[in-house]
Amino acid sequence: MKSLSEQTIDPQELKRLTQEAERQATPSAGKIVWSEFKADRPALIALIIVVCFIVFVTIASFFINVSQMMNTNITAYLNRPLQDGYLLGADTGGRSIMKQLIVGSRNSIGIAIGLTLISSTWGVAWGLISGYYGGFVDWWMQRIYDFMMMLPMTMMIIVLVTIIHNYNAITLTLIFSCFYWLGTSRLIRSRTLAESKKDYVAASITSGTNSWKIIFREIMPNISSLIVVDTTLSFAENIGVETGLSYLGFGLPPKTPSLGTLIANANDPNNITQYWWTWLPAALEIIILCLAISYIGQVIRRSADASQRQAVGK
Amino acid sequence: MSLIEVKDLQVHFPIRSGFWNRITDQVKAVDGVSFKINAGETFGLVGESGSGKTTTGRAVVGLEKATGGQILYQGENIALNKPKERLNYNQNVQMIFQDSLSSLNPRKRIETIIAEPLRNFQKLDSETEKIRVLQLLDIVGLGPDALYKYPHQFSGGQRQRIGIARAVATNPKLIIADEPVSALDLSVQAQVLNFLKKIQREFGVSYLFISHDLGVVRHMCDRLAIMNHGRLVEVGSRDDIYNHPLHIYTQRLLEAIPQVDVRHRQERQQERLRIEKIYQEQKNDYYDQAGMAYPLVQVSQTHFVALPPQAASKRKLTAQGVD
Ligand SMILES: Nc1ncnc2c1ncn2[C@@H]1O[C@H](COP(=O)(O)OP(=O)(O)OP(=O)(O)O)[C@@H](O)[C@H]1O
Ligand SMILES: [Mg+2]
Repeated sequence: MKSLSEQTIDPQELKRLTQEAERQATPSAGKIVWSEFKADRPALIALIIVVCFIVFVTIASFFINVSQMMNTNITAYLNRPLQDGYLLGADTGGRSIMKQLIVGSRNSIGIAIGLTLISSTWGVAWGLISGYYGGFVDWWMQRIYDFMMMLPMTMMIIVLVTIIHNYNAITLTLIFSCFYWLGTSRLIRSRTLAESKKDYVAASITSGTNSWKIIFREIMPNISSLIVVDTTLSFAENIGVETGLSYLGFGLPPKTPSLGTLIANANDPNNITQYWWTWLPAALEIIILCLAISYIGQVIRRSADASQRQAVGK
Repeated sequence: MSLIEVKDLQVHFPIRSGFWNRITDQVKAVDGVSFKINAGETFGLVGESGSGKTTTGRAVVGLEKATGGQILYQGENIALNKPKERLNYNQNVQMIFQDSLSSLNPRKRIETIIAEPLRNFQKLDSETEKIRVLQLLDIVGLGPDALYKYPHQFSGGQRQRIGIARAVATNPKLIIADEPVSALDLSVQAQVLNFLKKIQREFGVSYLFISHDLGVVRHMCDRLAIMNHGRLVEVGSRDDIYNHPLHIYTQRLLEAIPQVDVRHRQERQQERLRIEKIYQEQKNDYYDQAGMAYPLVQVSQTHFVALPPQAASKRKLTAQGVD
């Protein structure tokens, strides 16, 4: 006990050390990513575009009365852009394309965000647990994975959407989520397999730390950059998922505007040639969004890999 | 009663292959290893790369599941599949890892790393815990400014000392030291070995000291075992092994220790060639058809050798004659 009290260093000293440590600490992942964005002008612009756009459509859609907006208005039948106060014109039902675009973007992006959150969380957890435990647990979890992989995904979703009568954006997100965690889980599993073999995991086991803590507090932080990159890229992909199905007519219900239903206007040859404003804005928006997000994803991927960073210094 | 007794330990790894990923073969990493370690002593485990030293050590701390055999701690069989029992066991049996960098979580500060066993085994309040961590750092010669740093901010020798501090945190009775110095340069090696010795003097801990370097082992160990292809070929006191090696593999290993003796270089070279020749000639006698060593035979109070059956029966007779 005597040596204990001798060892005590005064609190002042300890505080100084703590502060010094904060300064010397490896820059956090957030800081690295930010400095990487600052070094890459186009990526910074892409980031600003995406963030501003998401904020704009979310706020603007609050001021739009959706059911009123979706009512047919014969007098505005296929109004041209800028005609009668219709900024981007109107479709065959005389509904404002501009308003549909705003609400539709919110719906599509909302679904993509929800889908990304759910499927990434599930996929990451699945991969971590499967890779860490190995053996029987891994065997069973991989057989389930194989089975899911075998199912024709798009067809299954279409069937489910047809069976479930009263579905909305939330049920649709959940249905998509059942199928979109697979890629993530496989990626995370392979990294976890490699990571679990490292001695710090063995040291944690002999230090008496329980498996859940080892998985989520020791291993997961060490593969966090992979998780961030994968999540960003799947977000870009997921915007396409809902859009594609709505385009085919199996996504959101017809009365709910989405980017996909807007692009579906292009199904009509007349629309393609004469009434371009009914589908072109939505198509352009998707192209720009997906490009911007995958550009952002690349920057994040770069910052996750120290050897590829462009930002000099810390 | 010895502190730990390993009886006929076997660790086999399955090799899976083919379309069905069936188990087609096995790597017998450890195949029938027995030894005892007494309280307060250092027991060396020596062998070439891939001979199964690490696997033996990992099986003893419970990181690797034994395919067969028993591990008795203070005379009691431990069931490592029961979390409670395992926790108790690991409080007393800890490990220092071969690769110091990979054994420290790169995302954690030294304080958290060393405090990990303390948090799980002894629930201390945060102030006492911090003091204890500082104390442990002091034991391995690191100052308080190490507390909030990350593993990559240290040199290899310092990192290995952090690993040692973590292993001694709960005052264990046995520490498996897996090549604790083989990644370090010579001057740092001596320093780390001295810390290990100092800790042994102060806390009376036993070591299972794994190494491929017979020079280092001579400096550290009271008794040692020579391992070859998953089996022990010779076990004995330091004197037995270094001065009276009986197994050809041990003789060959000893001859391979580099020496800085310029004057007798010619003679040493001759001696090495002679032993290599004997080794090549007698290899078939000392190993069975499968290339595995024979069971150990006692040749003196402390000395055990894996002699071929004929030589073994002769040895036993003389041993009886002596009695
Ligand atoms: N998880 C595993 N799966 C399959 N084979 C393994 C596994 N771990 C070890 N082995 C094999 O077991 C044998 C012994 O390995 P081990 O790591 O115990 O050797 P070692 O004596 O510690 O060698 P080194 O001096 O290089 O550290 C090797 O042939 C190795 O390939
Ligand atoms: Mg080894």
